[in-house]
Amino acid sequence: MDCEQVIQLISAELDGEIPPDDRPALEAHLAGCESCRATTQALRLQDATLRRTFAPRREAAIAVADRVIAQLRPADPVVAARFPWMPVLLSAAAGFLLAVLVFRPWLRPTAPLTRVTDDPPGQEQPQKIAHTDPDAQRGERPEGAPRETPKKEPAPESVPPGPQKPLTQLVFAKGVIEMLPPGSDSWRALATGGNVEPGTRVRTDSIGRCEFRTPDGSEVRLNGNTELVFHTNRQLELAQGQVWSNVAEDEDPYEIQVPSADAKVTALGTQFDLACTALATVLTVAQGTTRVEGKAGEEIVQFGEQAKIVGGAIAERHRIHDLVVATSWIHEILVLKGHDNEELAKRMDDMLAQIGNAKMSFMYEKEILQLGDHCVLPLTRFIQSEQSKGDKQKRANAARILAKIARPWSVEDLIKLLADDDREVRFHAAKALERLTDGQTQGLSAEEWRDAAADARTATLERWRVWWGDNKDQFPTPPFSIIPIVKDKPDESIAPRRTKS
Amino acid sequence: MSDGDLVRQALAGRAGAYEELVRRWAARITAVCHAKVGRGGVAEDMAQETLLRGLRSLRSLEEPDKFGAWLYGIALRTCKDWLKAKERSQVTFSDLGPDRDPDKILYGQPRPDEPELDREDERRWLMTEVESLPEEFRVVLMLFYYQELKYRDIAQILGVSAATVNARLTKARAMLRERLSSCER
Repeated sequence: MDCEQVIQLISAELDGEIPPDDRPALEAHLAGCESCRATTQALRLQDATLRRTFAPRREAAIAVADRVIAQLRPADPVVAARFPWMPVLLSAAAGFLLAVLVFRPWLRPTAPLTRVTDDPPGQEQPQKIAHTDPDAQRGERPEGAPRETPKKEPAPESVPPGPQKPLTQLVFAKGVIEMLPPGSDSWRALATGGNVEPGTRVRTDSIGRCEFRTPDGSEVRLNGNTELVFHTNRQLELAQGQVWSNVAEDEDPYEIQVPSADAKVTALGTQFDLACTALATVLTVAQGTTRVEGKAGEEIVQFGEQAKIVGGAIAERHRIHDLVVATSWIHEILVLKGHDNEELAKRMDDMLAQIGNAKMSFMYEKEILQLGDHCVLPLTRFIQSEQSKGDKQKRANAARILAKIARPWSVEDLIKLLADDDREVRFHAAKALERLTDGQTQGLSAEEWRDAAADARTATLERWRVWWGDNKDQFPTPPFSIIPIVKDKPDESIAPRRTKS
Repeated sequence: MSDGDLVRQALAGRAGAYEELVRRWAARITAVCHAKVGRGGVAEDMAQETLLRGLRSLRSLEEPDKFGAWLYGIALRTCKDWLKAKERSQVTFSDLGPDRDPDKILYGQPRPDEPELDREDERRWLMTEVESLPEEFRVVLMLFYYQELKYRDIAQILGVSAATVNARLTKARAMLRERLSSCER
């Protein structure tokens, strides 16, 4: 193999495209050819520089997509999430005079809510999805076969006019989301930002996932192939499918009727998952307690329990130890909510708590790796938090995973982690920096960060800070902004508190 | 879900289907436009126009599974229109002075979010060199670095083989090395 042929292989190898059969020939040639080795090194450096050069262009392309989508759907909060908006002041960490500004774009006040139709209630001209039969398209029912007549909701009782009550709103969605308003006989598409009034039936298609937010702040998430009725904002009915509820405290009880199981589940301040299929209804309680009422009376199902409900009674009940995996279907929705997401951070904490158990570790780490860069901030914050310092192993695992998934916009945070007291955290931070900065070490290898003397570490950390000051323009900005306002220990890692919504 | 499935869903009225296509293709189309017009800021405008034209004429796409190649064609035509309009524009001698850049007169000052075209740093220098590569090499390079696409994906967009993509990327890199090292001398 001559050098000209090898250069193409070097290029392919750089791009992760070298055929496995060609690798031995490439390595054999490089072992004996100094010129090609020098070319390899030069191409690696050039590749790293090109990646940095194009980083702003990649961000610009994302902004192009956002602008196009904004023209398609101006009120979509997912689009609004890309544009930094209001800074939110976080509470100061104990012992630090520290305030952090976090841009939390998904808290941006939404534009005036859009409705699918602007006709007054009762005079709506439904946008019939006449030529799109989702069930037929999915192959679940022959084209033209009669659809089961949807239940018509009774006309609302006449009530004295009063101030308009706030409505439940669709806030995040993936896939087809449809609604059937009360008194209507045609399903219509429901756009993100749209409201559902009491008595509305909603449904998702097979790949749909979505989240509704009720006026009291509860979050109701639907999995695929789910049909749910919002009788009121806190009285729901699950016809089929799976729904997750984050229930906010309120005077009115939060209840989900499950006709197929002859039961009703009432939340007593909680998070729970309810899956209703033809065979059984399964209730999983992730926080707090719930009450199940049916023909057989009432029973309480508590945090960490999973109960199968049949014929109005609990037929089976057991403890569930892998709550995160059992309810991992909501991760797609959490990802839609943006990077700085407290619920995702809590899930990260739970998954990290499971890692270390040999039987489960691969599963949780896999979940985290699948969430990709959405986990970078939660992992970083976990490592930076005071509370994590009580669990050395967990911190080390978090640092190990962070090193695998850290992105170029994590570089500044990783440099701060070099000052950590834990040798493993320093090691993994240095490894990640080496990967993200095309081999920069500032004189101390990742391995050396474990056991080097304090003086050597301090000096190297200072070189990293100087390097960052000279090079930060070459790195993309994070998809969120964290600006320390006041610190009483300027050289320490920042340990921001998680936000409270 | 394939591009073809998303196109069919978009045509069926599913909200969000075209948005997914936009997210999937924005970087590739911006890369192609950048390669065509040679200016990052203009490329963004061309890409935006391309994606919107794609939505407006989606019903004319006969084979939904060939969405990518079809959109690529729209991008090329959009850029060609711009290049023709640029040729027709004239800048008078009286507008020019020793410090006046004809492109700035034609297109105004750079947008605040436009890459720092006025700063002499390595990134700008390298991008200028990339933009001045012959078109068949720069489009492959840009498609690769805008989105780190696989060779087969680049090949599908351009209608060539993966081996050709490899060869052109290799050549593009070699040309850049040659140009940058001759600048340093």
